[in-house]
Amino acid sequence: MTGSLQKWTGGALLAVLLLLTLVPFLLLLFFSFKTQLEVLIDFWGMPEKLHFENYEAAWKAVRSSIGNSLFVCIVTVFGAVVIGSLSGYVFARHRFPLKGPLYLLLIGVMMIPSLLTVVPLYAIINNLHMTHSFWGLILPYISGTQLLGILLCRTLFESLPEELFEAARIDGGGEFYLYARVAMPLCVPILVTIGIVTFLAVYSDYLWPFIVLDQAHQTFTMAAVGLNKSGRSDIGLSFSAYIIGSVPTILVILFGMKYYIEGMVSGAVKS
Amino acid sequence: MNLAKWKRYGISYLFLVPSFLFIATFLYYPVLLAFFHSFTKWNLVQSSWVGLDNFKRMWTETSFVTGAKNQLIYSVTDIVKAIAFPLIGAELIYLLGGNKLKYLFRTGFILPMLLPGVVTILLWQNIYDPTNGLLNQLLHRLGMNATHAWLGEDGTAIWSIVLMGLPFISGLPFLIFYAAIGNMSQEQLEAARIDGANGWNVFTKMHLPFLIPQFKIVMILTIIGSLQDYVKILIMTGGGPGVATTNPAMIMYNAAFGSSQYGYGSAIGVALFLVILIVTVFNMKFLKTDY
Repeated sequence: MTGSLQKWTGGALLAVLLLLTLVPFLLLLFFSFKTQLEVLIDFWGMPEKLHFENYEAAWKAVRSSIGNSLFVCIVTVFGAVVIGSLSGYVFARHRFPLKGPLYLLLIGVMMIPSLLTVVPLYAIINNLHMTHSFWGLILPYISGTQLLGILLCRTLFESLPEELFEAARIDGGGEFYLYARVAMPLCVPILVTIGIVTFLAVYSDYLWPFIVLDQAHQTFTMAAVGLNKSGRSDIGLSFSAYIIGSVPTILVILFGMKYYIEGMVSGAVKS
Repeated sequence: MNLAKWKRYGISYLFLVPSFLFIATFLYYPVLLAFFHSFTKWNLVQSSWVGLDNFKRMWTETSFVTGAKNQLIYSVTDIVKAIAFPLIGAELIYLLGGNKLKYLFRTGFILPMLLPGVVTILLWQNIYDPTNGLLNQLLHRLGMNATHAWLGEDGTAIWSIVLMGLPFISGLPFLIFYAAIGNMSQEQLEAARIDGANGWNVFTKMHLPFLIPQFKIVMILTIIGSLQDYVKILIMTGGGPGVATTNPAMIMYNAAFGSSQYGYGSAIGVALFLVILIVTVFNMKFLKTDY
């Protein structure tokens, strides 16, 4: 009896906590459909009708910034995956002098917090005349995000049987062929994982774009902060802009979950 | 023979060139610059050696001392937020009957993680808005004085930032605790129950000791993270009013990108890096957690 009472109070408490957790997001959805006048006159009232014109105006306001963000994300993901997997391949399958120290030098980068490098990195980007250019974001992003690729690809490539590579070598495949045609196709799930993690980190970053880029090149996060700062003139507009700009991250996470589950299921069937 | 061997090595090194080119240019070189320029006055064009002046300035400047005190508030509350609340959430879900209900709540709590972090910060900024903010509107509804500019007043600004994200369950610590509790040995828990242990005893005597490794990891990561966290301050208050909500990382940002004092900014970056290093070494030596 007391057990079930405990369960009920626990459940009720959880429901309250969940509601509190979701309040900001319900707020986001609710106000994205209200006009500014409705917000001012009747804060709590339901919108008279669903004002999809907020979304139209918001789409016009943020579409170019979302495009900029997507461009930076896609180029970064591509660069990080190619460069990271290439190094991961070498560390997994090759033997050469100074292999250990070189690997440590790469992995040691993880001890460097971005806080330490942000000021001088700006100086470097400035010297390279890459402020107000997407390359000022992409190149530093690739440097940091390739590490995950090196770590994960090395582990995976090490687990592949040597016979696979031997066979391709006998057929006359060069080293690049072995990397691109033998190793890479076998690690697509890992590459997707790396891509998702990289995409989310880059898309959500606000600080570095804000430091490096100007208004004409702004990313979505910059545009989002800008909407809130310009006198907070229109909540409906900015909230629908936030929702539109969150669609890429939501899609990537949902797509990623499906991918993980598929991977797990196929693994279970094989074993 | 030897030539063939070195040709093979050459291919290995060639494949590594892109990685090292990137890391050298955009990670190791900035680190060297940071350490060097922490001893200089630097406006990106010219720099002059000033010795330890930048570091002395931190301890003598009142705004930095305030920032350091604020950092203590942020770090301590961040630890409480990352451990107590997610643990309560995970335990309550664990107590629920029915797997569907558990799944529903777990999914609900991680739902906010779908949005980019900046959007969440902006939503909270809106909640604290003096006129159209949810908080003031709610207080008004309850018949209370509701004219506070929560983020604009000395007394409330820092606590408004601290309380952002209430009830603090959504996030990685919650998932870590939830997974760990699910992995506990059911036989032991069952045996304890048969021996007459009540829920509270099971929680304090079995769950808490079992979760110590998770507590350590979350605590270390939270301390390191909170020292580096100034995006929310930058967006919500810019460190103000005055220096009421600033922290050392925010002062670093303002010094470099607000007033072109890149030398002083580098010095603060170096100082924070050393603190992070000490925390990390302390962790490896005494707490011995892997992450």
